[in-house]
Amino acid sequence: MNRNTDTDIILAKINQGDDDAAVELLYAKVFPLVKKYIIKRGGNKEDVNDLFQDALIEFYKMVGDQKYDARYKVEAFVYNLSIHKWLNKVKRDQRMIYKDDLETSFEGYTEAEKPEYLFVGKEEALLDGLFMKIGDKCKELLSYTIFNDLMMEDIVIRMGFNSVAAAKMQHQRCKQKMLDEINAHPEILQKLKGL
Amino acid sequence: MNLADRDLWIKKYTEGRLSPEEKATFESLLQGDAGLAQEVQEYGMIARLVKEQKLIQIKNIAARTQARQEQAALRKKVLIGTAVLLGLLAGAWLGYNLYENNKPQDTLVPKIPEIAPPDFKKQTSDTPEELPDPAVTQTTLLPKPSKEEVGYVSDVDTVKISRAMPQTHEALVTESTGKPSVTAQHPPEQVIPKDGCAGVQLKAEIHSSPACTGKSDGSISIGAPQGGKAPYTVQVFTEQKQLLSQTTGLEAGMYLVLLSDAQQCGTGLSVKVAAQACSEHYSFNPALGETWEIPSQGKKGQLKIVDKKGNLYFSRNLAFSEVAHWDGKPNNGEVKTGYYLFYIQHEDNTIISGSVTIIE
Repeated sequence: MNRNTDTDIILAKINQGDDDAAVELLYAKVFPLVKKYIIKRGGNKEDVNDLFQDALIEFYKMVGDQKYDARYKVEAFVYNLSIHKWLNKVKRDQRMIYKDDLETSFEGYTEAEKPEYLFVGKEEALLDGLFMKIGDKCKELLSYTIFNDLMMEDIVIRMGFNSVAAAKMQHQRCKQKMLDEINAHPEILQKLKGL
Repeated sequence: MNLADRDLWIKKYTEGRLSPEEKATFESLLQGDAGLAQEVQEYGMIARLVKEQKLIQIKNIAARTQARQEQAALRKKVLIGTAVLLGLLAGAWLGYNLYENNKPQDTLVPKIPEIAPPDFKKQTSDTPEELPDPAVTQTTLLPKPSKEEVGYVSDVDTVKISRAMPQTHEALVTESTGKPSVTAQHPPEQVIPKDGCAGVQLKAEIHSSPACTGKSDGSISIGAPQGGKAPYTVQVFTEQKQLLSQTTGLEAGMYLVLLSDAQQCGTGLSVKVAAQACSEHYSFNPALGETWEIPSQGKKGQLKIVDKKGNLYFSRNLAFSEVAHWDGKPNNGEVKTGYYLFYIQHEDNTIISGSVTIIE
């Protein structure tokens, strides 16, 4: 499949864990188009900011759940997500819908609920504290295996392990570290058990 | 199922990526293998936390990127506005000059005043007035700036921020030249080297005030930036990379200060808001049924209360999340009014101390 170069770059950045660059690129390429669309149709700056951020997070969630549809180019996907969210907001607010927007289709997409965060506001510090305890290397390794779903062979190259066996062993250690930290924090364990 | 791919199966099962047949097979295995079921549960917890942390990170990055874009847009508007204003002023000045140059001249011939010829005889008897020697230039000595005004000079091309700390806080390392040097706790996290930033020296005084242990009353104050090109952007981030909207009411910890100018030359410096034990003072009257709520902050630890002579009056352990009260009774005996000192040491080695007075 021929891909737009920007899509390749964005996905590469996400897989490298360089989320700053991926988000920056999406803001540079897609945000102005979303802003133009929404402002032209009576939306305001807050709508644009909120909806684009929601779309970005939903995109990332889909990537993390391995549900991102590779048929779509990333920029087009995030753009359509944002516009779809805008249209749904307009419908909820019972405002006027421009006729041409009704034709906007996003095949196979159903707007997801906003992700339910277990840790909100100041509680985010709990989560940050936990990941600080396990260290950056473990955080990176777990993120690659769980979020990015990379193969161990890939991780060996990215993180400089000597072998796949060494990477797997480190992975086990990191999981154990996480579990120890979860068990050491009853408040975190309680939230997870409540799921 | 190939047990060598156990982890992969657990992952796919947790993420709902098994086919119906595979899922049925796996679930039948789960029923007979408590260890496997435990692993699935543990993986689920870890995966949830990893994904949530990632999404929170993305949310923060998005907020930062938006803030940066808005600032850049504002800077652009200011630049355009300034350019337009300068253009108008330049146009007005040019127009004025053109008008002056093309103004029609007065046609009357001016009267040439008569000048009396010099009296040579008189001149020889007077000392001729000395004309200024064009080779001698007049110089005005500028006053040397006082010590307080002298900025902290950097001798490298990249930008440095100078920092002066009040004596009550951690002292800076001072070189023998007498000039304070910047001692960063960590190497600058973000250096924005750009062409055109060579030789740019940004300066700003940064002070931090400590926070009382367990409280958010620390602060960072940043003086007016100098050097580079205004307007400046000063951003302060927590260790979790959250952009702060204000620099008061801070908890103890490390913060990152990013200073940049209109040309986006800048750098970052880690600033520590130290924790300090602050004394708290309480009083209560047990005779009226009052009790003292022990300020344990919900942490596990131990409380000790001593009298003025240092004799232990009361002690107890404090449990995690416990909201404990004390009725003034010692470990042994009856309530004695008076002034006592309390000392709480938490499991994480933080300390809260102060006084509690039992009154009647």
